[in-house]
Amino acid sequence: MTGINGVALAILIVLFVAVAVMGFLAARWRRSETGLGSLEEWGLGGRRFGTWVTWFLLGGDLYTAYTFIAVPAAMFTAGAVSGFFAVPYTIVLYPIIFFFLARMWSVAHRHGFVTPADIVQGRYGSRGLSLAIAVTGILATMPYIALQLVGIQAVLEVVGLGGRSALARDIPLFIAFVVLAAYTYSSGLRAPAMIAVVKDLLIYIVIIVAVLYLPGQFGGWHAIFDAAQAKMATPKPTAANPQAVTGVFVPTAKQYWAYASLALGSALALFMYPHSVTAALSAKDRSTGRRNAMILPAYSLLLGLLALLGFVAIKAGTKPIGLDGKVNPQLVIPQLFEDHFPSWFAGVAFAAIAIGALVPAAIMSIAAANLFTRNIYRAFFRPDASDATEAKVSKIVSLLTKLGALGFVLLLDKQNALNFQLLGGIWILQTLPSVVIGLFTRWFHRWALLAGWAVGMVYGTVTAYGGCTACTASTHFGNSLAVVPGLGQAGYIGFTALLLNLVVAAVLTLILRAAKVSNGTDITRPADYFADAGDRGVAQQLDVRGSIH
Amino acid sequence: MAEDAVEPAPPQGSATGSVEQTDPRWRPSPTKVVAGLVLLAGIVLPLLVGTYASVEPRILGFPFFYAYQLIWVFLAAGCCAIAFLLLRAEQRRFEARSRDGGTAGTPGQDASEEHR
Repeated sequence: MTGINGVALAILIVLFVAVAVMGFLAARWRRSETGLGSLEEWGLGGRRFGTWVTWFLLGGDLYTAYTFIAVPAAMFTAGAVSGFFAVPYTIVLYPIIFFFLARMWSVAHRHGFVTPADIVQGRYGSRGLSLAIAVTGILATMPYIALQLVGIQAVLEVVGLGGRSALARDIPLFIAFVVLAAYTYSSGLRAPAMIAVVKDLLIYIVIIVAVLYLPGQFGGWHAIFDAAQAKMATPKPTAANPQAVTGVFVPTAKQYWAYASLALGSALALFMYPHSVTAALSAKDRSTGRRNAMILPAYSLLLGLLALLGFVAIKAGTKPIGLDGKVNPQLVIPQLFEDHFPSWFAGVAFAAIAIGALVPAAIMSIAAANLFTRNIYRAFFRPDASDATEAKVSKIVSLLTKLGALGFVLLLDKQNALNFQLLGGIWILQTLPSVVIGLFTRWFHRWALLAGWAVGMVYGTVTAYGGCTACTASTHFGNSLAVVPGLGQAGYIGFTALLLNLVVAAVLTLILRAAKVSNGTDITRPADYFADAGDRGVAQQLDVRGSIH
Repeated sequence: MAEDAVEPAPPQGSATGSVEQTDPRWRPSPTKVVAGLVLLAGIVLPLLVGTYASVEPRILGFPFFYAYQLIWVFLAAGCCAIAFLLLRAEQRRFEARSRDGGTAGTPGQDASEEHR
């Protein structure tokens, strides 16, 4: 931990540069005649990615650097409820998206919808609701981008860059940011799609090697689990709870709902994020998403094993201490790799994580930019903006969101970044009734949905800031759980807020329908939700100029 | 090509949104119900934490809590595969019927005829 790990750093730089070059070259990949001038081409890759590219893109999208750093760190610190819920989250995710992803693709390709806010606008004809969805999407995405940069920072710190000198700490991150911003600006969505392939291959190799090699070094899985169990049972009394233990090895009855609601709520929220929708809509036909639902679970297995590396670190006695001398659990995985692998392989692992930050950060910033350009800029300021203008605005906004995220990471305390991400998850989940239920039925009234959204947002935000008394013993993840009114147990705040959201929306819908208040215009027809590539009226390459049709 | 040209759909001003019954694919068919149940199983069963929150029996050294969830990764993929195949078969039947005779039979109608 003293000095810089030269070999690891060298490998990290080489791989990073190679990937950056790929990012720039990606502009040439499967390009159409119009080049990357249209928002369609830049922001959606021209919508022609097949099953395998989509698989890598979605995987690169779903499994971010933050995931790889934070999940094992949570396992290391506080055990199963805080960390392992990521596995059932990814298990239930695929059956869930199976229900609605194909419909979303179909109606989007039939009507030129690019963002979730477009879908809502088309289905309900409500600019207010569409604006709410757009703003929520942008707000929820920004801290997520920031956390990818935190992931890069963790890797750089273990390599030895950082510490007391602010310059040493910030400059490498700044360089990574500039590279990211530059190739996203020039290549749009094609860049992360191409890099996702490299990133996923690297991650697979690193994790498979780690999981096969490391347990043997520490006495096998049985011994590792025993060590974890012992650590989690160690008393760690707090002022509020003198009986408290360090963490959770296997959840107790009082923690079942917390675990299940974290998994379910996170799964429901994931595809509400604009970047997930972006990746899904970039597929070339409606079934690609479903085919991916069958094969993406391979990533879940990887995530489970990665989480368990957090337990391996416990047995290995890893000490995640930052260059400032303070314990920083986010450093567990990089430190584990540096301690027990030869420097060159550690470098490869660090490159995998750093590149693993670039892909989602790029996609997230593109998606947030799309939202702003179409649903705020064009909807409210310049309805007659040309195709080229839209692409330009998107590029600039994408750059600004990354700059904002960088500022976030450099200026604010890490804990704040984590808290904002938790809030982001709670917020984005509140867009589910408007976006997804609308794909199946138009029963809900648009004003009721807006009210439900507002109630969910307020409840979720207030409760998350209120802290939590019935939670498991962990630091920031404690803010994601709160006692569920009426249940007496802790549950994921986002999920409780969603239920409240739905109840309010349902009640108000009944009232508004009884009062015969207009529910706006619906430009979609039932057949649109089953349209596939090659059908009449379904464009492979949509004309982005003009409004949604 | 003409097929790629976008066809503007006439706006549907509807306060109640009741045009959904016109497209046969909108209605739940037996195939859709079965596929839905399979998918629901893949969602609900892994969330019944009480059924697997124990350390014993260990599988390959992994406590049951952890091993069970890793096994479910494959089971969930299986559920999605079953649903995919069921829905694809139904889609192909629908396309074959549309080619053969326009209004001759829909997935929903077939099921109701079988019950007579």
